[in-house]
Amino acid sequence: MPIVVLVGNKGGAGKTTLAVNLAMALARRANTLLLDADPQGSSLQWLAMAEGHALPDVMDPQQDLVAQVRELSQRYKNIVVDCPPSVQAPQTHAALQVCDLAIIPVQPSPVDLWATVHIQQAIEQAKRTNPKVSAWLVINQLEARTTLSRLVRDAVEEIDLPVARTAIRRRAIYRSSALEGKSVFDTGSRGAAAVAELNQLIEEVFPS
Amino acid sequence: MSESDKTRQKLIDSMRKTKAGTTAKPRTATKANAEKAGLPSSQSPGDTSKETKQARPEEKVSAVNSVYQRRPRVWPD
Repeated sequence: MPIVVLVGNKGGAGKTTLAVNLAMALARRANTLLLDADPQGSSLQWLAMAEGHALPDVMDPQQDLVAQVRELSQRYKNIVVDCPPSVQAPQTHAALQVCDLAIIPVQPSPVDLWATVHIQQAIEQAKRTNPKVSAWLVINQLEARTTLSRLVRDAVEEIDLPVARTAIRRRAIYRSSALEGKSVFDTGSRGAAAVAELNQLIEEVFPS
Repeated sequence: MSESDKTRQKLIDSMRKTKAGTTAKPRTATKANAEKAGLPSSQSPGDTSKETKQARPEEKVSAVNSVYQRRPRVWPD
C-alpha cells in the first residue's frame, strides 16, 4: 500500500496535476485517498469540480500529518499526498517521514532546475528516519522540440537522485481536464497519450 | 562547440553553482564601480544627485507586499 508524496521546491512544476491524475489512476485499481497538504488547496478545488466519475477520497491534512497518514494507511490501499511547493514546509517534511515514494516533478527550465537542486538534501535527511523512502525526479511538462527539453536529462544528473525514464509531456489535456474535475483517464481518446505515459510512470516508479 | 553544447554547459555550470551556494546577487560590481569613481559607496557613478534618494528597504518591501497580498495567490499549475 504505497504512500506517495508529490514534493518540490517551486510552484508550477506540476505537483497537483500529477497528484490528482495519479490518484485518479490508482483509484481505478484500489481504494485511494488524495490528501491535499498544500495550503493552496488546488487538489481539493480540482476534485470539487468532478461529477459522476471515479474519484479517490479527498481529505484535508490534520495538525499531525504523520499520525494522520499512518492511521489512514490502515484503511486505504493507496495514499497520494500533494505537498506545498517548498521542501522547508512542515507538511513536506512530515510527508517525507511516512511515505514510500517521493515524486519530484521538475520542468525543463533553468529556474525550476535551480530550485530543485537542494531537494536531494531533504531526501537524504528524510531517509535518516524513513529509510524506505524512494525518491524519483520526474521530468514534467516536457516540450520535445525545445533545446532545454533536450538538455534537461543532462542537467538533472547534477541533482544526484534517480530520474524516471518516463517523462510527462506538456499537454493541453492535463489543463483542460481540470476544469471538468476530471483526470486524463476520463477524457477518452483525447487523453490516450497522457494515459499511456502516466501508466508507464506508475509501472516504472511505484513499488510493486 | 555547437550552440546546443554551449547551452548544455551553461545549464550544468549554473546548477553546480547553485549546489555550491555561490549564486549571491552581484552587489559588489556597483560598489567596486563607485569606489573607482571616487564616490561614496552609496552613490553609483551615474548618479549626479548629492544625496542618493532611495526608498527605505522597509518601504519597498511593504509596497511589494501590499500589491502581492491584494492579488489572489494562485500557483500556476
